[in-house]
Amino acid sequence: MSAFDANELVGHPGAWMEGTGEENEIVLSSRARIARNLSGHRFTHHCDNAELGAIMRKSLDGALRTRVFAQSRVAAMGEISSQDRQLLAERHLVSRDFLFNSASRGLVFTPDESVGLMINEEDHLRIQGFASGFDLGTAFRRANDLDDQMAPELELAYHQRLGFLTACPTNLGTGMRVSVLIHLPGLVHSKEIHKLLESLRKLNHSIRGLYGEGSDTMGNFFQLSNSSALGTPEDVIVKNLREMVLKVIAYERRAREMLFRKAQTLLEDKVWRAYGLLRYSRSVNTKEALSLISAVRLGVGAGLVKDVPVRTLNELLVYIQPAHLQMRQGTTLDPQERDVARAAYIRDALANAAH
Amino acid sequence: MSMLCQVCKKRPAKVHYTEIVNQSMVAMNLCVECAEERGIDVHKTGNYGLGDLVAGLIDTAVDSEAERITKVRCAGCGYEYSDFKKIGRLGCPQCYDAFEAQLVPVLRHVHGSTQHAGKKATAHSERAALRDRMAALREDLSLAIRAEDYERAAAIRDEIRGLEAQVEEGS
Repeated sequence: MSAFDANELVGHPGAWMEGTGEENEIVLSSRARIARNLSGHRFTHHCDNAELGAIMRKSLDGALRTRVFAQSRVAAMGEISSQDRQLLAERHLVSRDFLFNSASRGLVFTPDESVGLMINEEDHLRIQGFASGFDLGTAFRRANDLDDQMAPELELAYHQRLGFLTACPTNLGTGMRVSVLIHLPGLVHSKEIHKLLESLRKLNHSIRGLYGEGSDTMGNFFQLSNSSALGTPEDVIVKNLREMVLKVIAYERRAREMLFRKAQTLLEDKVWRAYGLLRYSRSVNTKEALSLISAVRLGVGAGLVKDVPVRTLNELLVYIQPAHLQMRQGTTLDPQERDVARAAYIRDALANAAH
Repeated sequence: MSMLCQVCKKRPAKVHYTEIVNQSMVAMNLCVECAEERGIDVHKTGNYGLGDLVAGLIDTAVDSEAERITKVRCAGCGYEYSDFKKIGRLGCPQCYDAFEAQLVPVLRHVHGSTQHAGKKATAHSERAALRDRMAALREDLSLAIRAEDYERAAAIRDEIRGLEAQVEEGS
């Protein structure tokens, strides 16, 4: 165990950004989250600071005894800078909630960022397992191993009929949410996305923006997850989401084929213009950058753009965010300066990829 | 209580449609599994094979009868059911026992189930859960005695004894 070090973190991409795995152009990454709470304590939002501190001590103690965290990094959210908190959120290691509530909140993660544990989030314990590409099985195994190893160390809130007890009844039972980060430009352009969202909702799955609950859907990136956690065993939840995602991938492919059939030249133009802008522009904001990256990604998927690896596209999504840009420059930047730094970062990344 | 599937009579009916049998219309109420067995694609809609006929018909009804009771208080943390309705979070693990009657329809709506399946707690956590449950029951017991409801008090006492026996077996 050692303290979290922002420089070490930004020095390499996280496990989920590798760009490996099945369907890696459409599905960026897979994630499994398991929620647990300690017995005999109030839920996080109902605790005073003393109780939060007690939960933190017990949880950290239990977590650091596990084999998964034999090598680990620990961050006390209240003691690191707001930029470092932002950095962790941009890498999906902590939720955005941790940016605003940081006292007695903690994070433990493996150096390769494949497993993380948030302490005192909405639930006392939020375990996350990550995998690159469409690989829900690996993401689940990573989270589940930590849960298995931590359980004997802690007294968890459990009910014989209702399963693991959580602050919000939507997570009750398995406490599990599995999700993929998925790129759906075909369905967005063909305007079929709303129909899909509606259907998914009815089939007990949900879809949200790039940074989870309440965040915008930018650059055609979505998070698709199960929304029911009670009454279905973990392996079936994983299997159901997998089947759902396979269907969505098939619709996305069909939508892309249709688009290319109807407007081949127009689409090729859109892809190459986007590539040109990213390769040569001198200032670009996040929203525009995400939209251009999406178009290039579509071009990579269609075999038009050959010299940009998926891994580079994945890294761009993270490294063009404000805290990452500021870390790289070693100074705080105002929004205009960030746009300039962002354009420079993207130019370098694409130039390196082309060589 | 939600309607049960008329084929398996076990799972809740979520797919409702009309079938023509011998030239008369028959209303069908099936669970997703049985509907799929009968070749109904519950994932079908429009061009996209998701939901189709069925999509608009999936049960979203929530019993409102239990929602009227909002004044119940959790002995574990002092939370009231109305707090949950305001905040959307429960106060502590014991709230699930305190507000069970109100939560059942909510769970059915959100999860389509009220019974956990899957991974279980370790024996260690199971014992902790029993201890929590006993603490809640002892609170109920003293309330029942104060209210001079001796019949209820006796029932609670028996339940506590049963749990104590379980804890001893497990240790």
